Amino acid sequence: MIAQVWQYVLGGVVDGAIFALVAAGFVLIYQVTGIINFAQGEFVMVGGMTAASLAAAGMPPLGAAAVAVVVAACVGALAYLLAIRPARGATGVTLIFITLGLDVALRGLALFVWGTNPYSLPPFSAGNAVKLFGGVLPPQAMWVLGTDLLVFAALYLFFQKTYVGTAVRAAVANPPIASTFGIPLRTFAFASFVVAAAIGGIGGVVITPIPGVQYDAGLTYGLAGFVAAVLGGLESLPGALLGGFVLGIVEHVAGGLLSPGWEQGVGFLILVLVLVLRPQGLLGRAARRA
Amino acid sequence: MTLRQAQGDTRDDAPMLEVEGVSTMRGRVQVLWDVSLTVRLGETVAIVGPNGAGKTTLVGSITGLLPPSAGRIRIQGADVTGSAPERLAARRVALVPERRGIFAPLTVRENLLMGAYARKAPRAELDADVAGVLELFPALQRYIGGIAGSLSGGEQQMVAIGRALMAKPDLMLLDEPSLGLAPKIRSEIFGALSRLAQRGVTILLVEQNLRLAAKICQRAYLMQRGRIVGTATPEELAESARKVYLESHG
Ligand SMILES: Nc1ncnc2c1ncn2[C@@H]1O[C@H](COP(=O)(O)OP(=O)(O)O)[C@@H](O)[C@H]1O
Ligand SMILES: [Mg+2]
Repeated sequence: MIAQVWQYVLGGVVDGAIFALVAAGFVLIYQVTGIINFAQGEFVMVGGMTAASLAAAGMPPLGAAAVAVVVAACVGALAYLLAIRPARGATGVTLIFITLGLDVALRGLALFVWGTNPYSLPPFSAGNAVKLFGGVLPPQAMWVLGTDLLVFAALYLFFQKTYVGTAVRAAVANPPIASTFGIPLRTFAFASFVVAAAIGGIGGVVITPIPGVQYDAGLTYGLAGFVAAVLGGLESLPGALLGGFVLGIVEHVAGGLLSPGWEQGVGFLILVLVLVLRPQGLLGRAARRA
Repeated sequence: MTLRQAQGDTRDDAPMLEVEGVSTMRGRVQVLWDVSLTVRLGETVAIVGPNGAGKTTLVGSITGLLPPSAGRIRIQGADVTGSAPERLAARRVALVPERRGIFAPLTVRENLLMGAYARKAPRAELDADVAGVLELFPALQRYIGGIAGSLSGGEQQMVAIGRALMAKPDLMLLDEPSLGLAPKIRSEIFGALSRLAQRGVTILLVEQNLRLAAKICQRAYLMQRGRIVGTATPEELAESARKVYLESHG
């Protein structure tokens, strides 16, 4: 029983790592632009589908992975330029509908390009399953967790240690005053979409060798990433990381012990509980900005 | 003619800032009505007037945060009417905003560094400039790595002024820097401002405290209900400050 639960936990950690990446995308865009981008999960799908279809066409996996991340970033750039930028000044509700529309449009585009067939991608490295305290992880899981570590470390270093990263934090803290010092708010808004999309694409690329991917895979990732971001307080990257893993583990354990159909139900339940009991997230303080 | 004279000739009267017939809306309400004023290079000019007169709106119109609906604004002769705030920053206009507007979650050092964003200067140069700000405001030294939002109002005002100085501004706009500060801190801050003025920084100072304004300005505009209704010398400002004082204490 315990061994079984442990195995569910390990599975949850792998999924949770991807949820954390998607959640990081939600947080980045929300912090910089105030927009909740409900199309976030589609970047995972675009990354996974591009990598898988290129690999199927004979490209080596790592090359396909690199191209896929660039494609995802470009989709993010276009999404901003074509859908978000023209609507600047719109109200929050309008922007929510725009990102929901974007989500549907990207899924439709994927259906058009790739059809309904599931795609798969070979693991990045051969080797045996990794044993951990009696549980097992596929070798690809190491790529997933290593990528998570790298992405979050890079984000941390960028925001805390670089001049431009500091300027982004200044822009988040006080946009109009930041702009009077020459800090380019619109460029940062654009960059937040590109980077969030690239991070989603990276997640899609590294996770695809495990469950495979199809045109509508973005829905699940987007929803989970949103719940994870809300769990983390929507304004915190460490919160997104924690929220991703918590959600992944809870979903897998609940799905394993009850039935797989419960996974998403549990996700929704967590979302509702957090919004009601702790809207500032697991790490957030009760009061937000001063 | 020597070079020095040549510079002197052009400098003395060269306008740093020209506001010409500016009207500005806030939402559907017109707040500024045909406002005109000039600040010459190296001058310290005050704008005084009651709450709600439109002083902050005027400052916003100059920085590009509240673009005017009519009129012209020129910086060193260049028309900047309706330019984005980023463009004004590139022209070395720096703002010390009303209620300070510091980047609360950032450290004091980070706040200062962000003031120099438009300069794109190498890090060593910026570090030297941070040291210069700390010389002007030694009180900030011990908080330099601390979160700016946790500082007192007076210390935050020093951060806001220091941040603006990091822009190496040709024109500094200060919106009520004395607001809500203890008298001792006020005089410390105004002491620093008058040293800056002596160094040749052009200053447009919005200030409701007439006595403080009189201390450092060369002349003042009086603002009321969105209009410039007159000008005053520092002596006149000091005089009316004394009258107000006597009225309220006599
Ligand atoms: N955000 C706003 N929307 C609409 N009206 C505003 C806004 N802010 C200020 N006002 C109005 O504009 C007028 C001038 O305000 P302001 O420029 O802040 O004056 P001051 O700085 O001289 O106190 C006031 O009557 C105020 O009520
Ligand atoms: Mg004001």
